[in-house]
Order: sequence, then structure tokens, then C-alpha cells
Amino acid sequence: MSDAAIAETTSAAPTHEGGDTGPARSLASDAWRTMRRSPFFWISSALIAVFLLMAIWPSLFTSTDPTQAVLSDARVRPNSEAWFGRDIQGYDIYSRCIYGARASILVGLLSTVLTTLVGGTVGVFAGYAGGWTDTLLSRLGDIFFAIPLLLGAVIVLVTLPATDNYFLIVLKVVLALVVLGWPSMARLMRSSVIQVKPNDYVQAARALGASPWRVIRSHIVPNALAPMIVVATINLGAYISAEATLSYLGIGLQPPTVSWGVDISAAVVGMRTTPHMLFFPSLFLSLAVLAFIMLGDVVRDALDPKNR
Amino acid sequence: MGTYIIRRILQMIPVILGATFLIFAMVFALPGDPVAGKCGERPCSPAYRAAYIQKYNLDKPLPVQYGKYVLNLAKGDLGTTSNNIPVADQLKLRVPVTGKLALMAVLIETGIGILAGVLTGIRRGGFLDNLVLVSTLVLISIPIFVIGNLAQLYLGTRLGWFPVTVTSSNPSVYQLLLPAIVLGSLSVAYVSRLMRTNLVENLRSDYVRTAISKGLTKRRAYGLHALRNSLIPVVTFIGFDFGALLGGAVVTEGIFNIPGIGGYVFRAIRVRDGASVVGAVTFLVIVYLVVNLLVDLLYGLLDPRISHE
Repeated sequence: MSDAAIAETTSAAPTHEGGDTGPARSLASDAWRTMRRSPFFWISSALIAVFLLMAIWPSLFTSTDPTQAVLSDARVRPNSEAWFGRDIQGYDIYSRCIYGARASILVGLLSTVLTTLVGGTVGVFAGYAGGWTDTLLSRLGDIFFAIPLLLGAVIVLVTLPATDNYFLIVLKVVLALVVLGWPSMARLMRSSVIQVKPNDYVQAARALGASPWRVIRSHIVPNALAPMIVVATINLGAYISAEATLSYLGIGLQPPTVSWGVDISAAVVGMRTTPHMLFFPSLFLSLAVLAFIMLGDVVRDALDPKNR
Repeated sequence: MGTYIIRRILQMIPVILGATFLIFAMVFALPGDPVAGKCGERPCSPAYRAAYIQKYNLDKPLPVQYGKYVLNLAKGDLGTTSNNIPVADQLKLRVPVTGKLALMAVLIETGIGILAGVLTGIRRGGFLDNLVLVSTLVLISIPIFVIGNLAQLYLGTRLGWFPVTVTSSNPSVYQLLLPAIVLGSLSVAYVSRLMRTNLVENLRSDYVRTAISKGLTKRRAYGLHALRNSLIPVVTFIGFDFGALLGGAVVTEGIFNIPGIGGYVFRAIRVRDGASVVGAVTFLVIVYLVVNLLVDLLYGLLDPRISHE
């Protein structure tokens, strides 16, 4: 295996301008070079781009209103008029799949950004400060981590006051996922900060009199960020899946809201007679989750120096 | 070893107290009528309301309520459900069912996951490797409620290989087989990927090269040295997963009509049966912490360099 690897590098070397003797490349540009060659990177990026576009601008894909019920056509199979068929209310399933992207993508993005910010900050603080601060923050994280995610999220969602506003409903689901999801990010960040902290460049910066804030900002965080980026990308997919699960249980998003989870939940009842009602929202949901998890995989392989 | 275990158990106490307080505060400090829906369609009688408030100290401030609850908890009293059945009795009925289901799921994920991980890790880049990588990716992407409903429809109803739903309160292994496969399917993907990554990393390590160069057969070098060292992160995941499966089987239990703890807590949350929720979640938290302790103790067996002295 190593022979093959060596042969590959020697044969590939002349095509590289500069090769190893060239100017030093940063981890990010190195990772970008690796990722560019992976077909999985392009497939997942294209999927994510399409889903983002769907979430921002659904009317680009369809001109049918997802809440327009044609009861006479309820439960028709896919045909030339309604490409994915219609559901039990006579809604156009294709249109609902397009409009459903917004809720899932919003929940996924917001939950990921917030868990990363909260967990990352706590993790940096705990890892850098050490001592009793670390003990206190770690135990605090353990408390939230020990509560089962799904049941905990259900409790949070039931506790929060009911609302009809679309964004407030989405925010409720996000809050539930963030409250229970931040400790895993904090643990991850803490362990990578502890790995980075004893390095010579950090010690040198401190010896030169850099303030703790400066050391953290320009030395610790950039070098401890890689594992976090990977897990955040994968988590984005997981949160989309969690949102759909909560909606499936009837706790997350509620029926007037158009969402894949809500539609799947409604379609399960008639699964035997009208499988198309279940198939299309499930397909969209799975593709969205797949895209983010695949991207996370590619980014991990690209950022991991052991793979070279 | 003894002192380590005692220290760990002492560390658990603040975590248990914190987690129960969180749940307790959320469930009991809810705005709105505490007895709403407890008496069916009509409003509760003043006598019932007074008795309920008295029983759960709802007229006292939250810390007092919680303090009394914890004192009872320390005596082993988990409180009673809104139907006046002790929560402990409900748990005794349901925990064995969910425990059996989670254990079967863990066995399935361990067996299939580790086998797939080893096979793909040894022949990296081969056909089987790519097949497993792609199929695990697909498996991770499909939400469990879709997998569960599809498995029930095709393997249960259409093909009739498995019972469609569970029909007894003490289900047999055969009845729980399909739910356990569904429940473990996601984790199978994670275990096999984790196993593969770690094995690939360890196969390149110096000690495996040394083992082979000193004349050990490949089977022995891989099986004894590389495999054992690769198992540590996998064991960590499986331990964490067992705890997660106990509480996270709500969806699977719902689909297959299994009278387990997840569905019990879920129903209790919906009808605001506070004592059941807090009691059951407390139990789940304790199980999770104990399983994590056991996993940490297992490290010592897998890697002699890790000692808890």
C-alpha cells in the first residue's frame, strides 16, 4: 500500500507547481485542494445549494400554492398535472416538498449555528481556563448531556407557550435542540483546546505578553476549530432529522406549517394505499440530511492530516 | 479501583440533582392550571384541586417543592402518577421491555457494525468498502420513523416474516426482533464507520508493523493488536448509545406498539403527568451515568495502559 502511495506522489509531483518546496500552504487551502478532487464534495455542495435556494425562494421551483386544496383530486397518484400526486387534503405534494425545505433548513442552520456558538464558547473557556472553571462548566454540560435528547426536547417544547407565528414555532424547535445539544459541542471544543494549549506558539505568544483574549482569538481558536467544523456539518443533517422526528411525533411544527416532517406524519396513516404521499417528502428529507452528512465526511477527510 | 469508582459515583450526584431539577422546574413550574385535564372533560372539584396542590406542595416556592421531591427520591419513592399508581410500579412494568429492546438493538449493532467495520477496514478501498460506505451513508440519512414504517409494511405486513406489532406486555425476543433491527439500524452505520476509521488508523501504526515483522501471522497481529486497540472508541459509542436507545426509542415503540418507557414518558408529557415524567427521566439519567461508568471501567480491560488506580 505504501509503495503504491509513494509511486503515486512521485508520478504526481511534476504536475504540482512547486510541490513541497513551494510556499507553505495553510490547512484551509490544503483542505480545499483535497476536497476539490472529491466527487462527493461536488454532489453534496450541489444538493445543498439547491435546498438553500428552495428555502429562500420556493416560487422559483413551483407556482402552485402548497396550501391550495383541490379536494376532488385528493390522494391522486403522480400525474402530468401534479407531478408528485396530491395528498389527503388535495394539496400538491411537489409544491409542499419545495416549500417544506424552508422549515427544515432553518431549523438545521439555526440549531447548528447556536450550538456551535454556545458550545464553542463554553468549550474554549473551560479548556483554556482549566481548574475549577473547567470542572464547573463540564459538570453543567453533563447535566444537559445526561437528559435523553428526544424526550428532553419534547419536554421543552411542551413547556414553551403555544404560538401560531411561523418563525416563533421554528425558534421553539431550535431552542429545544440547542438547550440539549450544546454540551457535545462544548466537550469537543474543550478537548481540542486542551490539545492546542501546550503548543510552543501559544506559550510564545503568552511569553510575549499577549492578552488571554488575543491568545484565544488568534492562536487557540483557529487551531482548534477543525473538529468542530466537521461535527457541525454532520450535526446540521442530524438536526434536520431531529426536527422531522419531533414534527412526526406531533410536537414540533404543527399542520398549518408546511414541513417534510408534518407531511410524513400525515402520510404514514395511508402508507399502504397511497405510498406516494410518504415517498416524496421522505425522499426530500433524506436527500437534505444526506447532503450535509456527506459534506461533513468530505471535510473531515480533507482536514485530517493522517489521511495524506 | 475502589476509590475511583467511589469518586465517580460521588461526581454523579450533582449531575443527577441538576438534571432532575431542570426537568422538575420545567414540568411543575408550567404556567397554567396544574390540574387541567386531570378530571376528564369537566373541571376538577375544589376538593381534588386542594388535595393535588397539597400533595405536590404546589403552593410552596419551587425550591421547597423540589427539596421535598428529592427527599422522597432519596427514600426510593418516585411519587405516584395522576391515576394514583406508584411511578416505581409503572417503571417496573416497562423498563424490562425497553431494556430488552435496547439490549437486542445494541447486540445487533455491535455484531453487524464491528464485522462490517473490520471487513472494510482490512480491505480499504475495495468493492465491499465502497458498498458499506455508501449504504451506511444512506442508512444514516433516512429518518428512523421512515425506516420503521417501511420495515413494518414490507417485512411485517407484506412478507409476513416478522410480527407486525407487539401484542403482549411481556414480548418475546421474536416479537421484538424487527423493532430492534430498526432501532439499531442507525447505530450499525455509526459503529461500522467508527470501527473502520480506527482500524485503518491502527493498521498503519508502528506496533502492528512490529508485530508482523517479528513473525506474527496477519490474523494474530490484526486480531489481537490492532482490533483490540481500535475497539475503545467503539465501546465508548456503544455505551453512550445504550443509554440513548433506552430513552430514545419513543418513535420505534410507537410504531410497533411496544409498551416501553419511551412511550410512557411521551404520553406522560402530553397529559402533564409531572411525577411520571420526572421519575422516569431521573431513572434514565441514572442508567445513562452508570453505563458510562461501566464503559470507563471497560477501558482498563481493553487497554492496559489505562488504569484507574
